[in-house]
Amino acid sequence: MTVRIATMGMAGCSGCHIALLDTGVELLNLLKDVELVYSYPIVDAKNPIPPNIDVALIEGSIRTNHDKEMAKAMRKQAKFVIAFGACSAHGGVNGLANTFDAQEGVEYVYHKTLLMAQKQVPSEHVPQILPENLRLSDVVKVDFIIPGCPPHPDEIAQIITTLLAGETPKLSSKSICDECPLERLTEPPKQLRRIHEIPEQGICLLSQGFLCMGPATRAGCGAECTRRLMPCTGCRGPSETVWDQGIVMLDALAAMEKDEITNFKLSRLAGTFARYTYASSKLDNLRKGLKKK
Amino acid sequence: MSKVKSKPKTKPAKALAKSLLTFKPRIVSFCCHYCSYGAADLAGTSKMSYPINVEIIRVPCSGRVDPLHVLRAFKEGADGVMITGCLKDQCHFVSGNIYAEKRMQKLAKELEAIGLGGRLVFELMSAGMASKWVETASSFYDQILKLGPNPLKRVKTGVKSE
Repeated sequence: MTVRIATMGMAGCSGCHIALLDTGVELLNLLKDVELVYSYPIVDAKNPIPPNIDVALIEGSIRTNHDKEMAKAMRKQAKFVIAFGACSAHGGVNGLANTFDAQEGVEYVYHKTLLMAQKQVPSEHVPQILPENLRLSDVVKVDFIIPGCPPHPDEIAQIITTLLAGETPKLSSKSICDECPLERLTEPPKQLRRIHEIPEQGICLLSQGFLCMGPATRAGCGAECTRRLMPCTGCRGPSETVWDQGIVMLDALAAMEKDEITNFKLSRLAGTFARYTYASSKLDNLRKGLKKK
Repeated sequence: MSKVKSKPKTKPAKALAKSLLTFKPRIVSFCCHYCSYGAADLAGTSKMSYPINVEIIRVPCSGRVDPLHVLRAFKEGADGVMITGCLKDQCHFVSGNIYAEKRMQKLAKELEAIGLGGRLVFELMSAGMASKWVETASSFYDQILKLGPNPLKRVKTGVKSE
């Protein structure tokens, strides 16, 4: 029996779909048992969504009312819904739009940017923008998440094969630091360093003063970035023991900063520490409560 | 159209005016066991007066106060959160107060960005500085009186009064 799989894209960059294609030979092996019944990069259909879908992979966050309706329609047809990628699972980079007013953003894009020739906000044949950028689980019930921006191809293949075998897949509950081979120093850094500076080999990036999100981020990617001396940006979202990625990281930095880091000048921490999770953070929940009248 | 719009607007405005008149700020104060709780205790035994709505929660060290505690307090409707710890280099746990100070400075910045600016205060004092504790509590109380009720709470009371 073939398993019917559907993929769908919301407010996102299609990067997760590219990652799905990037599974390569694994994908060819999978396609023996899998029938791809609906997929927006391949099929030019919008609605109706075919019935009896076994697994639905939904990429991107909910930004317009069209996204919202499509997510609900997909949920009706699918038995197992997976939030595919950081946008769908935690709100993603799009979530940082929640630090601004939605209408102000629209005004800015259509009136102040140079490339917009019309200088007017389109009102016909376009879906309405929602006041908030939502993650998928704010709108429909989500059975499983595949985190990452984009998710690791090996992990996607592994999760789909586990699902095909009839088992429930599992994500790692550790943090990136558990997988990272770099050696941590006991001395806290004296200065913060910017991303373009060149780090030393083999020493923890956080100890060297780079803002690495490893301690608060879910493991499972094999610490691919920090292995190559690139600070973690936290795309895989909070690990299981972390209640809020941004604020836990802020906490960790406060503990590190005991001896006065002199050049610590960030006006807001949301963009660095909650880059992928702002839309699902406790701080944003509080703000949503404040905004409702 | 304008009539329809103006009608519901007056109700919350009235409720707001009413709530402002009867506004009694609720301030949650986290005091560390070794210094500032002692200061608050001393203020009590030496019969100094401080605002009645400052509710004290004793914690082992000011470094124990997680940002989660602060966010939770605001969510539950606290109008202000006050955290007090030991003087610098006098913390019972060596450096808990310094950690707490750094952490709360950063958190205050984030809170200001979402519209809760000026509602979080952090002060350092020893167990003997009862007058400073009273001064901090009452000046913070005045500050909150000026700022008005916690916007989250106002939403709730507005809905109930209608």
